[in-house]
Amino acid sequence: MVFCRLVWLSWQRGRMSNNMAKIADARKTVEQLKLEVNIERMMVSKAAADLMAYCETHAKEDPLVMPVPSSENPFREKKLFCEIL
Amino acid sequence: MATQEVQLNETLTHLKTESETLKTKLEEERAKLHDVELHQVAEKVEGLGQFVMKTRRTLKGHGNKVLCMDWCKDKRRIVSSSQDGKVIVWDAFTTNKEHAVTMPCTWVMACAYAPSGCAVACGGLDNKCSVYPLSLDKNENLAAKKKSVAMHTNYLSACSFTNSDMQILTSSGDGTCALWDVESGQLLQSFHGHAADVLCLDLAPSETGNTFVSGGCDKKANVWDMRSGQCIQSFETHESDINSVRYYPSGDAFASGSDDATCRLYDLRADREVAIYSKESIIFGVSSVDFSLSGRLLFGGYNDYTINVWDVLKGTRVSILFGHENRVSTLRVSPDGTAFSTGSWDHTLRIWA
Repeated sequence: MVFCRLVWLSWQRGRMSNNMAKIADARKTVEQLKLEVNIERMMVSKAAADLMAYCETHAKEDPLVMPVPSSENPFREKKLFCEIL
Repeated sequence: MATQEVQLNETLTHLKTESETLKTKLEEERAKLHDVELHQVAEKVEGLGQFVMKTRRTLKGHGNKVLCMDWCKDKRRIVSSSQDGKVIVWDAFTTNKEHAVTMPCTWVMACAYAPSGCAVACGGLDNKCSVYPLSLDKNENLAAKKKSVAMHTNYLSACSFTNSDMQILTSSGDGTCALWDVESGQLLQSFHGHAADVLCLDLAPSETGNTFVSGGCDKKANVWDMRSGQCIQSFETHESDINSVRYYPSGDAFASGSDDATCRLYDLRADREVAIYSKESIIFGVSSVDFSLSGRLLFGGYNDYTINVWDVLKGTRVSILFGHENRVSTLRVSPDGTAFSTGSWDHTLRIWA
């Protein structure tokens, strides 16, 4: 009888600590969500305009958007590398 | 005992309800700023010309699937790793192999070049990230100088040096990311928040500060503060695992590629997804994404062996590139933007320009 009671008590304790762990996790999730809700945001129109401006400013320097002459792109060069033995 | 348990259950239910309310509030706040679509704003931008991009070099030498690659800052060297445990350093101009290391494990899923060009980091099923200093002496056994830096409790999925050779950021199948000191192997910061394996990470461009983004099997992309370990923003719009994340060159946005066959662009200041790059005809997952230098082009490597090139602003596909004979597993644009490299399950790497 005593043994059964001890087993039951430790099972209960196990369930409690499991619940407490779940509560700790749930609390963390709630705190995290509060942080995320409260951040400062910008309108998509403004954010999109900034992305576009960046692309346009840097388009000239982008060799894959504005191809440079073959002689300036080392991978497009037709020269073969030969080793002199 | 019983009443305590009832109380605990009540608290749990109460917290869960609060959680759901906050999630709804978050969506509402994000929706308030959604006044226009990116591609609408981009209508006035000039369209891109015809694209002529093809394979300029093929790097052959791996005995099995290529899983990961990274460029050296010198714009010509590449490190790649494969399923058979080999890590090879190549000169992409000449296609010569400069160094080769055999790892003690198979499936080396992550590799990275140090900013100085003097070392490489790699790891995979061994749950570790190890750093190998590269020696100019070809006969030296690189494996002898190996330094074990990171230790996770599951596979290493990605690694990246920070601004210097001194710190490494890793992500793992154990659901966490971690920042390590290379010299001492000490854990400097750990990042918890993903509910499943973390598959990829990318550091913000140095001008924009100490943050990085990670993507995982829980379909979430999280942005983290490296100093505090705090998750700053979280995005969950993908419908499947996120295999690759990459910051837009300005640091204000990032792109992701997923098993749901789409790539998406998330703006960090608008705190929402601003573009989806998809087509009905594309049904295979994206393994890897990267931007061109100006951020105008987004390259995606797909599991259907192709590379799709997207106009980031207009949301349209610009080009589709063929060449690999199996899944494209990794894709990176070179540091000066003159070319991009892909690695594939067909055992080869290709340089495109």
